[in-house]
Amino acid sequence: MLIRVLSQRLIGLFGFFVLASIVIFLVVDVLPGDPATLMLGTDARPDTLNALRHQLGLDKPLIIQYFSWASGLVRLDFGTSMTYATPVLTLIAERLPISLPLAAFSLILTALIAIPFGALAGLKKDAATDRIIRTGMQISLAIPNIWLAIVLVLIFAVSLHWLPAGGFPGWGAGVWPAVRSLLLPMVALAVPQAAILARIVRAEVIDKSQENFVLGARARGLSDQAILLRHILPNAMLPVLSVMGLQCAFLIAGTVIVETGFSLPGLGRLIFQAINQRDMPVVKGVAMLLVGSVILINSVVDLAATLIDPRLRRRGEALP
Amino acid sequence: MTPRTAWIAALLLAVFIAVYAVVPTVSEILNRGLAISLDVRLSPPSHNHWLGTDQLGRDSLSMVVFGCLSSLSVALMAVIIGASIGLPLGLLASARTSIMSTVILRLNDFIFAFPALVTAILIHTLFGSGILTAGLAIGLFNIPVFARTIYGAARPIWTKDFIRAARLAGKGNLTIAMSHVLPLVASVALAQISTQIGLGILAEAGLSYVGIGVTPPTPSWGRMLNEAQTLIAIAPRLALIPGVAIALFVFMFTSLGDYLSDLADPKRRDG
Repeated sequence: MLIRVLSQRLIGLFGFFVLASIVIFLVVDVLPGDPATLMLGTDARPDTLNALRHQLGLDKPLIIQYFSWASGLVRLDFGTSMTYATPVLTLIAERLPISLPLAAFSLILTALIAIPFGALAGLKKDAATDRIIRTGMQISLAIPNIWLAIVLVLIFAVSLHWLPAGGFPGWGAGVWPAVRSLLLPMVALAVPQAAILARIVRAEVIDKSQENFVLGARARGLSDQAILLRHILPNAMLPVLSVMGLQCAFLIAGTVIVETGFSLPGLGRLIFQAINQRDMPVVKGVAMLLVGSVILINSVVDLAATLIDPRLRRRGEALP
Repeated sequence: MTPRTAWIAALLLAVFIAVYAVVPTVSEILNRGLAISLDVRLSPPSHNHWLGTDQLGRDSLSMVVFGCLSSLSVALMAVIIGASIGLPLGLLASARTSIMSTVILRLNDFIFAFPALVTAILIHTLFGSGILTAGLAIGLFNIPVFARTIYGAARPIWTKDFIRAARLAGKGNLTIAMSHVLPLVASVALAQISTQIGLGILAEAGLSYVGIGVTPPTPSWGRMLNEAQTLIAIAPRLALIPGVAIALFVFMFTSLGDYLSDLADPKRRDG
């Protein structure tokens, strides 16, 4: 049973990757017309254009172009950047140590904010605490993360001088200076997402509190705290986990935007420079990486949900 | 969401729309404020410029009012695209008559993997930046959002007795979907429309901020944030104005959306 579920998911995953690569290839390479002209401009000399076309492989049929790019992706070869003349993978690898920790820390911070506040609001449903937390969530949801970033810089960098306003010293400068420069972007990314997640946590806690197992636990004389930690939260975690999976897509996109605001040399700066310089191999590579990671994360979360849920296991649906 | 907050949000929205639609002279005065005049740049709020001027001497009030038009038109365009394609798809999938619904749902998951930002970057390579690029990118992402919501709301309806009765009366799936299911999910769709307009305004701000949304000289809230950032130490007011405007509008639309969805689902009316 497990094997069948796994193989189905893997085939689906592979199909999504192929489909995504086709979409990106079509939009970036085929639809805009001749990439060589786009890169060099309309007044470029014909022989220069031809040389570039040959270098990019544009003189070959489309299907061959696609397969050479896609088979490169499988071998983790994203092609060569036009402006840097270095492999796209190297450029991405240089930026990942900023973007990846930023996205990951933000996701953790999102959960750290959302779970306590959401659970508290759910337990104190309709009380003053609940209403205050809910209003707070509604407001944080409405705040654009770039604006939050600017306000945070104004308070903690410009006025108080506690944290840097932007830039990145590199992990070589030590863990603390590097983390320090990621703190504000992290908060800016996490707060709006935490508002979304906290609503789910609240709804789940309210839903699970009405279950018979909570009544049973209460009858056995368990403390409210024990009931929350041992019975309500573990049961509420599954939907929360799948929402967190969906939030990864927003966090990845948000990271790219917020990085720009803090002048962090991450994937965001790489892709925006690439757009402006019409460096298509980089655009394709980074777009594929972003979309690929969203697809991968959602599949893993989906699969994890099937594996974790004990109810599915008892029925023998997920595990043999 | 309490009814009172929702009513305040609706009232505020109505006032804003009235100002834009009914009072053309206001817009004419504001229009003059968009002109660049370097001799009054970065001036603090005064009775000539109620919210002061920016680094190019443009009136901040005019900028924020016209920025609203950019944001709203992008958000509306995105909702029209998302709802007009996503709603029929979700309704169709909910009928579950064939492998069609599986295909629609999988396709939804697939589009969902493209964050609006990535779609905007891809469309940018085709058309460059502009209101169209932003609206299209956000709209494409809205398709699976609407399809999922409608699917979720419509699916349980298909098992109801009155649907069986309609089938016995010889009605086809399409007729049932249009005359029995659609009216019941319309309120859910309306709530989603309001929420997505709010989220669309947020997304537009993000895209214009990084330079792939609305292009200058068209005023845009995201663009204003971007330009204000370098002046944050000198004139923090310039960053605060568009930020408050975005937050206010998003808050109004999402609150209204929440209220409407509570109305649509009596079980959730208390939560």
